[in-house]
Amino acid sequence: MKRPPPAWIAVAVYVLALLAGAQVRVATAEQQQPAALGGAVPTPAPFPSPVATAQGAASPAPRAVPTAPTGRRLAAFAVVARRIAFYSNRYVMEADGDVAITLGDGTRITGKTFFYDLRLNRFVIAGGVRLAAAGREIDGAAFAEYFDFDRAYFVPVLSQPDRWTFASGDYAHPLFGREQPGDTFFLPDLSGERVFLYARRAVVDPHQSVRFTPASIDLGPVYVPFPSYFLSYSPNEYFAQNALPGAFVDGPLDFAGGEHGLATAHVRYDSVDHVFPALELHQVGENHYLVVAANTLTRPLKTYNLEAYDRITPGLQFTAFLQETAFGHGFSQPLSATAFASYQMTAALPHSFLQLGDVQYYQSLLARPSTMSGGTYYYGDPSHNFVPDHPNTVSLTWVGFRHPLNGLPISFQLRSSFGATDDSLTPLQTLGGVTYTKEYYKSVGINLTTKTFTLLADRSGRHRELYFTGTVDKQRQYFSLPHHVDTTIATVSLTKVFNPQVTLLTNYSNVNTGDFYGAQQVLAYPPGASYFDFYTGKTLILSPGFRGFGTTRSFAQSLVWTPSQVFTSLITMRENRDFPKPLPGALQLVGDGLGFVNYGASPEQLDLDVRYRFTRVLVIDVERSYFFNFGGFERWTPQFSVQVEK
Amino acid sequence: MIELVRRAYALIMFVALLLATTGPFASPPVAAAAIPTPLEPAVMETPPPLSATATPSPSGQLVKYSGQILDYSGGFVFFTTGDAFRLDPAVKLDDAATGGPTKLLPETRTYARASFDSGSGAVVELALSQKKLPDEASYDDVKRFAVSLSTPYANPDLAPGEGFNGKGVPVTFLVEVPPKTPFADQIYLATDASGWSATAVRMDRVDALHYRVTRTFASGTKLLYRYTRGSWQSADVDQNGIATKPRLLVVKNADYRVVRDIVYNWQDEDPFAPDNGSTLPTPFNPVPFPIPPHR
Repeated sequence: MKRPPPAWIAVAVYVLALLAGAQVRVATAEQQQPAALGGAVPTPAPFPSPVATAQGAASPAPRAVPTAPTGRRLAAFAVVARRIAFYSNRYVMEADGDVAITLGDGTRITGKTFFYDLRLNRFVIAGGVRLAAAGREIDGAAFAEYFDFDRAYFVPVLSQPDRWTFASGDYAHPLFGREQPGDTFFLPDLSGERVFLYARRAVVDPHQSVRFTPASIDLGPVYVPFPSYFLSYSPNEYFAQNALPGAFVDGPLDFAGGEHGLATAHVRYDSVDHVFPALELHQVGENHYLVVAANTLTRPLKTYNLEAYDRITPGLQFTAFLQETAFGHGFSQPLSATAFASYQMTAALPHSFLQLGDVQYYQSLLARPSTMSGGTYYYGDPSHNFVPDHPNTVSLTWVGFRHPLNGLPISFQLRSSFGATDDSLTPLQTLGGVTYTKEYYKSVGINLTTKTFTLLADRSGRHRELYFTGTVDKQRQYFSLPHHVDTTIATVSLTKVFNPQVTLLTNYSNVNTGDFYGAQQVLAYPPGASYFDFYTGKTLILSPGFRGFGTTRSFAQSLVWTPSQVFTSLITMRENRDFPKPLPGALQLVGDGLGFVNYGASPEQLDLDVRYRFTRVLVIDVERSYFFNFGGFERWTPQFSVQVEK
Repeated sequence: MIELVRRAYALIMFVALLLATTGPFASPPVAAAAIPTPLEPAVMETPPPLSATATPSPSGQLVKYSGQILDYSGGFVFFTTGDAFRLDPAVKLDDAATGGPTKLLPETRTYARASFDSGSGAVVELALSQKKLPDEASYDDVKRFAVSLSTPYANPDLAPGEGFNGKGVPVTFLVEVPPKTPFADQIYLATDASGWSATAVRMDRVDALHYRVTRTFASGTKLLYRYTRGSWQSADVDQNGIATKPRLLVVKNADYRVVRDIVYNWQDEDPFAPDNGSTLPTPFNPVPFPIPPHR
């Protein structure tokens, strides 16, 4: 292989050619690829600017600076400026006045104006730019860094402007004149956008987070100063996992974090506890997360939640949810404390999967108190009586994949489970004078679903079809007591699309549940029996005619109106016919909000759901239901939420 | 005779070529270091009208181009195209709206309408504005005036056919949900572009088992997304019971695209307990704690 000429010969020829007035095309490292592959090309001097050499008297010579240490060039970088503004609606950071950027490898760029698009992970700095890298300083008009492509683009000003491209952080070997992307130095138009925060310094971890210090944050009418603000925008979806219970209004403030962690303070409001603070901590990895939350910290009843997930292998995962509630003033000895724990291990099998689950409830985490009144023990206040119950359920479930039935437009899915429930302190059930503290059960179930049939096709191509779908779900659960529970659910749905904005849905379902005790049926369901609701603490009187067999028929009609991408609305009217007669329940926290846990459905129910997206980060979602003819419990559900998205 | 015609044709072509390179139709000579070789033939089809204030050289016409200033220094004005244009020593600065004096400075972010003297290639007038100005000449009309030391050459990173053109592509997500999905529940798309909000994009119901939504993305967009029923406790789960990894959508150059997905299970779905809700208050509940009391 022919040995390429030394670099100094090339430079000398280049200079002579320029002095002679010739227009010389600079041979770039890329163009010299064959020689470079030979590994025999010596490293030329940094910034081998031919013009600067040729017309040294006319242009300032590059100034030497201490050689920047080699570091993680594409890792975190710092921005300092007289003013940094962050536009949360556009995920763009803007800096003005004496802007100084320090990259991970020590490369330093200064200029007047800076823009960084957090999602595209690229920045541009413009106006009186000075680049200090590879032991040299050089002035220019603008500099752009595309982290994801490991390319930097520079407009240097020597005797004349030029266009340089740096590949892979090789500042010593610019690619002279290489064509640059058309929008390299595009400055975003942010007029009309509201600034979420102002800061003086920002440390950016690309694709992960930004820490702003000090931060003045937009809280509506005013910008409130904070020592710092930590913005996490990681592509890892586990950061979005939420362990806090629901609230009407939730205002999160991330204050610390990193690539694998995030700490968030919340100011929340609901109708029970009003305004209160909460705290949530995330620890995430590529295949796991751990979220810890403390809620209602300034109220006597505090809630502590923990959610954990680990994908141990691609076919094996573990999830856990732990909750402790403690009633106490401040953080002193609580008067009562309960806990709930749920663990689940899922293993993928060929055409099916297995789930091993364990659910435990600790009625009291406290030791038995010495105070006793009326036969019950309590701490401080008899209303917080000591209940040492500890029921526990273990189950092993097998679920098959959904398969089509040969030749029919129907698919089926099978499932089965085994399990045991016990409570050694309080018997699970007493029947015929016999107490049962432990129960075993097994179940099988099948789900049949039709494919979607197009009853009326729209030949105009405007998608105004009429669709039909039906499902039947049948399950039998055997208990060691012995008795068995049969459940059959049949559902048919019709959907009519009027136009892309308006859709009407109707749904009819019939749910039959039977608890079969055979000869002991009346013994198990005596007339006028009462049932103690574990959650609400209330005793419910069952319907006199109830013998363990119930039916609910439900007819629902929904109108979906989506006039635009920012506004959607859903109105649902339901008619329910229950046997036994439904019993209104109490208000309590369920899911992500407060709700009434009713036994049975109200005869008529109206659901309204309106959602409007004001900006990319602000969504108002109003979701309420009204119960009609509900035994004097006609009322609105309290669901209402204001959502602020990051 | 034929030979005579052939020689006459050759003579005419020679004279035409001579006139084109040295005569009044040719571009004026400029310093080799100042003006690079034009990228395209310097031919103006329809010269725009002369400015009231700026005066081109005797051999030139005025070409007006509007853009945003990147920098203004060293006798050059830089636009956000990355191009540097030489300033005429007597360059005039004025207000783009009135044509009179301006308090604006030609600095980064300011919008400007530059009047180029097609003869010298220099900017003889800069009309400044804080708002974007309408285009008068295309970038192709002025890029030949851009000053650059190095001869431009093609960038293999930008080779046609291998990249994305960045044009908006309407993408329709059509998802089939499991039959046990509660009738009144909403289905949402959670995406990395929306901070993984579980309710980022609400989908429209097509029928009992299908939901649909259309969003427009620039080609080249990479989007990670998952389906939820409004919370991360009700996110999608794969057919094998394992939580779904975010699905990746790479928007390629196209007029329209449909993405068809299937959600097999929901995370909060109890596979062996049919959704009989709380319709039946049995004295003995075989699953005593289906809902944590404070979740």
